[in-house]
Amino acid sequence: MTSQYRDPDAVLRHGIRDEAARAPQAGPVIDTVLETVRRAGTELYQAGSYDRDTGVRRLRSWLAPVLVAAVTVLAVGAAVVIVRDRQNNRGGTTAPPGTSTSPAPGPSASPTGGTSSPRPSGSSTASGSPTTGTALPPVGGPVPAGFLVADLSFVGRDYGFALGTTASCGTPPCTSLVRTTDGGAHWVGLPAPVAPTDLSDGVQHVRFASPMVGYAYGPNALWMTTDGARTWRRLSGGAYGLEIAGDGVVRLIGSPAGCLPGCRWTLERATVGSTSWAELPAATSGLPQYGAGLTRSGPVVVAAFYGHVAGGAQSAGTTLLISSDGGASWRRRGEPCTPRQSSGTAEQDTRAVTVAPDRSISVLCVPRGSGGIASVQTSTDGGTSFSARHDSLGQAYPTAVGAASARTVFAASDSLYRSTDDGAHWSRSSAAISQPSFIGFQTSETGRVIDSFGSSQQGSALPLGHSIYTTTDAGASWSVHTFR
Amino acid sequence: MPDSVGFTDFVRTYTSMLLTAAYLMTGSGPAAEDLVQDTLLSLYGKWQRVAEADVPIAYVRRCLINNFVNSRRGRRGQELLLNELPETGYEPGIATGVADRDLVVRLLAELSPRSRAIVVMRFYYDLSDAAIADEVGCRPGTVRSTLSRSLAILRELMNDPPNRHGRSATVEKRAG
Repeated sequence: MTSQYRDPDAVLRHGIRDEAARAPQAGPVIDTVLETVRRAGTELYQAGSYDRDTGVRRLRSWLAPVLVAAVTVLAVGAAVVIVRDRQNNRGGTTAPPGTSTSPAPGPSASPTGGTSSPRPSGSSTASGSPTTGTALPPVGGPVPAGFLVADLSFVGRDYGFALGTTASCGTPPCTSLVRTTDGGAHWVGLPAPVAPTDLSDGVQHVRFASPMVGYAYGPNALWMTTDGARTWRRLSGGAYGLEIAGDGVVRLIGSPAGCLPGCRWTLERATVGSTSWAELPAATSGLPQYGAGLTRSGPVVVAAFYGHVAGGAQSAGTTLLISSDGGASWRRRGEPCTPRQSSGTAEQDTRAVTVAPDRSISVLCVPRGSGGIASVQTSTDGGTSFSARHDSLGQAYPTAVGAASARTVFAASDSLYRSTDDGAHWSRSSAAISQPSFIGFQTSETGRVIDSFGSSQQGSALPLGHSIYTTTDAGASWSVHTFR
Repeated sequence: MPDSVGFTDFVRTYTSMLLTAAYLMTGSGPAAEDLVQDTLLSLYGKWQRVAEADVPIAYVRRCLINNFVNSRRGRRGQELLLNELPETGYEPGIATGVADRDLVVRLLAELSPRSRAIVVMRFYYDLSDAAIADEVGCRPGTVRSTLSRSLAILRELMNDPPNRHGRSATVEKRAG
């Protein structure tokens, strides 16, 4: 434990965020308020006259003409507000804690400088100051037609963002951001960074620390908003992974730009909303260089570095750097996936890593070459040891892993598979999830999956999905929202 | 229906955010739902005024805080509603040894309603001193001193685990 993490300011910020995740769902309140108003018909509540027990109070007859005038003015006022807001908005998106990390693909070009969408003066956050003045999140506009989701980020039980793109738009880049405030039932479009979603200079992922402060990033680009996505500014460098931890944000940098394979890895930390980054004391020399990513839940952050698994190179496994204190200190360990000696299974490699809300770490182990059997192995001691592997996942070739807890884990291949006994037995999800590309758990019950089936965009290396599946019972059942 | 656009859109967009603030201030899901519901419905009759505000959500949040503080007026200190019984012991996390969330719940229970609002506005919404002062209805200096005092209490709590009854010496000392 370090004094950095135990700073009361950081504890308070971190604890409040955890407590906020327990806030009630907005849906019932929205329904109640709107239903109450609907029942009122044209009868307006007068300030202070609302009676929770009896409902609407009848208006005096002499008020009718006054109310007609008021309604007219109100409608015009509301329209002005909405139009003004929508003028500021163009599509946009984000990702939740507990999502898995898998090898970040691809070479890239050097980033270019510049700033983003229209920005009112004085609205962005100054270096070192996490406060955001009076800026408040924009109301939002319509979701771009044909929106495809790439990544998700939730900052509360119902409050989340999705980053993605559309196949076409008026003025490229078509990168878009959308936001939900009711757990995913409804979404609105927000301004997104003026950056493509390609790997060379674009953003593919999103993380929000609060409703106001968020990041969109890719290996060679990093953008930050401090006003709820009303405006974005480009920061220097990029990120192969970026996670919010406590009051800080940790990013994994590969340099020079476009370095894969052959990157020099660095971990950096900044205060949320700040532009000042400091290198973290992690032992990053000699790490595998064929891909890397970050994953986090609570103060546990895991950076995974993937080796070149073709050709049977025995030493090309994965190395993990694990922090249990929000990135202040790191511990290094070698490949957690091991073949089961008794069955003589093929060499195993880590394909993806995830941290569950209970801080357990799960790795998706896949066989090198063909014929082997994949498995999920879990650590409940901070990555020191991993559970014995089970061979019940079969020869499916899973691509992603998720975990609601150490016991309840998920794997994605031709469908979503769920195990409630630490990977010993698996069952196929009853939901029609055909091509899960993203699994993330916000709490031990609430998680989300992006289904990429039928939405692959030609020429895009990015898994994109039309549908977001949400569970509130640790994956026993799922509801779906599909963007059209 | 009057204002079928502005009010409905606002409710759909901001209820979650208001609910989170209300939950952090009240410490209770049902109380938070009541507070948000009552605030929105009481504003419906004067929605024009809300729509014309420079920042409508700030206006509504100000009303929310006022309603919260007024509803607690005369009642002080320890009556923070809790969704669940306080944990009677610590379940050490991997790194922190102490659950930050529990510390925050205990801290908020220590504070007056207005101070709770100030802490929530700063540490959840990242608002500046001036913005908080505007929303809570006090001077920026009061915001700063409240935050400083809150951090001092938290520091005490961090060094003061609760006893088997779920009460810390710090809380008992203040209550006494």
